[in-house]
Amino acid sequence: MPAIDLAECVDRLLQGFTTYDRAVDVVSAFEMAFTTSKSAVPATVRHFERFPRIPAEGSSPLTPDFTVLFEDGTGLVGEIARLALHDNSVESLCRQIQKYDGVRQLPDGPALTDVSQTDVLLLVPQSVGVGAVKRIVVDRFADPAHPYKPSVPPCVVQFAFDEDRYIFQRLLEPLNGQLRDGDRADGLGRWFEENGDFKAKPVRFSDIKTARAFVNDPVDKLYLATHLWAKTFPTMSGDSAQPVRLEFRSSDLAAELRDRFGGVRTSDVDHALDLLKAAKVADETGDGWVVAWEELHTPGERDLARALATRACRPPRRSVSSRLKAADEAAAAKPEPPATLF
Amino acid sequence: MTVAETSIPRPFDTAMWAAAESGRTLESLHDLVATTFSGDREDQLTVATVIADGVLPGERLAQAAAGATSGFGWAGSVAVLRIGEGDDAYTVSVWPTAEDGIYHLIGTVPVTDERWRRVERWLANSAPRLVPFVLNQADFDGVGAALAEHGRVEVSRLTARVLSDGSSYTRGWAERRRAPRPTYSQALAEVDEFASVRTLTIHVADLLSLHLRRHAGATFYSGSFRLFENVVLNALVNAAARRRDLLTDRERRPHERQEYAVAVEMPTGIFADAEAVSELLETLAEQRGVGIAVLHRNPYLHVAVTDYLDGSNFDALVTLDDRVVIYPGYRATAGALTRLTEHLAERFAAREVANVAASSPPTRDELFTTG
Repeated sequence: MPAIDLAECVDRLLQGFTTYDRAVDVVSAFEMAFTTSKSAVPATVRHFERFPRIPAEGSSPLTPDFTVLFEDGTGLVGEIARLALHDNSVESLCRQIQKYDGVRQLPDGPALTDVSQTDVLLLVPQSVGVGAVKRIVVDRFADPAHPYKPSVPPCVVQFAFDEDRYIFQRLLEPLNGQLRDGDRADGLGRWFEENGDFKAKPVRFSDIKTARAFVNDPVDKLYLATHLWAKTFPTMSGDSAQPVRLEFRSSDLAAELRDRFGGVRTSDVDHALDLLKAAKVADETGDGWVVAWEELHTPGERDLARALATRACRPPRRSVSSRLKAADEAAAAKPEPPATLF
Repeated sequence: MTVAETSIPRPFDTAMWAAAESGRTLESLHDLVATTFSGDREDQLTVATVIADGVLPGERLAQAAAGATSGFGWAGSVAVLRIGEGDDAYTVSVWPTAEDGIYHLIGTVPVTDERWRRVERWLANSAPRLVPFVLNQADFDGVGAALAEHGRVEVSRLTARVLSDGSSYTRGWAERRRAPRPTYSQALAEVDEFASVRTLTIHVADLLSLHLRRHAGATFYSGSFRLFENVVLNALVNAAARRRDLLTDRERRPHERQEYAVAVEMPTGIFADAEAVSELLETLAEQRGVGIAVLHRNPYLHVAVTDYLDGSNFDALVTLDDRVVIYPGYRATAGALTRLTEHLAERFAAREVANVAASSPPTRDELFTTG
């Protein structure tokens, strides 16, 4: 961890955490709209994939934020864009979503199924919504000289949290793309056309969010570290005496997380464990990791995410091995309990 | 009530400990009360109903009380803890009920007495394997209705928590010929709009006097112990069994959709106030061995709750202003879930702990309007 101001270091980590959690919310809201909403849309969906991985010729697999395979043989790719001010960011995004436009096979469970067309739904925070549609659709797609030329323009939708719900609003720029519902009974294209937006209260997708927990992007390291400490490690530890020594390989842990929640890569686990290592609660062994899991007491801080961030930015002196050694010695020195109470 | 007022072991305690020392099985709680209660004003039987999750509660409690107890034994299936010596000695006995995992903790010291507070501390230290619970409003109301079948049910004292600020509220009604005390339902109706009833001192005609508590328990003062046992204790056992069934086997399982979640239903609109949400976070984290991780805050709350005592973990969400919804994680014991819901229910004067559908999908119209 670079020697920067503690508050700045903690804020940076928390910023990544918050952004990632918002992405989990947004994808969960769309999963709800496409799969469980009491509308005609779920019946038109053959498969919603939250963790798509689409092989691409000559490059790494494509990993958009979600894909939808419709019963009529068409498809949709959803991507949450993190747009920066500089043009390189927009160019890079255009190259990425142009590939999505050309996708002709989409996940259908574990297999891939051919699609006749793929719409690209580009989700951007409200703060950059107008800028995004201008820079992507007007300045690039509509500019004959620009190489960004998908078969149809992407549908740029901005999102915000308004009062007690998320609002997803298709930007009204005339050149902005439209989602093609075709002859399907209902579709989000029609929703945006009729209403301009749709809304989703968290209560509508909280079951999905808690069941899946992650999205297809690399998992934010503090987010995953918090998940591991608050959920995974306690599940592994049960009521064992603390600190509990947990030893594992990150690939095994990632496989377990993928099986239960989906989407987590070995590199995600390694990054989270690096953070826990910086916080002096995990350490590398020859071929894996060792964790000293216990309730962490950080003065004045009850929130585990903040506590881990603070420890990672300003590590305590005591190492994992010394904590585990002290616990082992204490356990060895403890007299055997009497056979009966009295 | 002070220790001095009730010193000299009560005959009930003496008999209880004598049975434990000799390992003798007692005929029944009713018989023991019948033979040891003489009707004087110091005779009272305090009962707290608890849920055990895979432990023998007597031994668990004795471990938690280690150092304070002067004896432990079994009177048949009843575990007996003796606390103190000589004239100051008293007992706490753990009585199995007709329902698996549901027990009554029974003593003769008053529930407000420091000696019973110690028992409550041992109970808290026995969590999450041994936990008390809070009666749903409907369970509480049901006791009054059941007692009313036996005679006019009057209330002489009521304590409640004011919903707006959490302060205490107490009312007492003296017995007067021309102005009868309120009935059970009248007393409850009097505070219904602004407070949540925590305890009631009740008189069923001239048949029975007792103290009933939302924090599942009751105290027998005088009258028909048979009626107390059949109506009040049975109601506590049935409510505990329903809670046990609600909170058992709730852990998430791989590849299985969670159809239901557990909701702690609060007074209307309580979490519309941001301060109440802060208070909720403090309440969640204040219990021994419980930690929280805030995943999302403002305007909706999503918290990961970890019970470090047994590894249970939960997602707790406030997405409506009168409800905390709990989605159990891949490890979620009944004890830890009972402890979590009990603590929230007690602190926020919850109406009930209930099963709710895990998902609440919107209609097309709702997606276009309210979300």
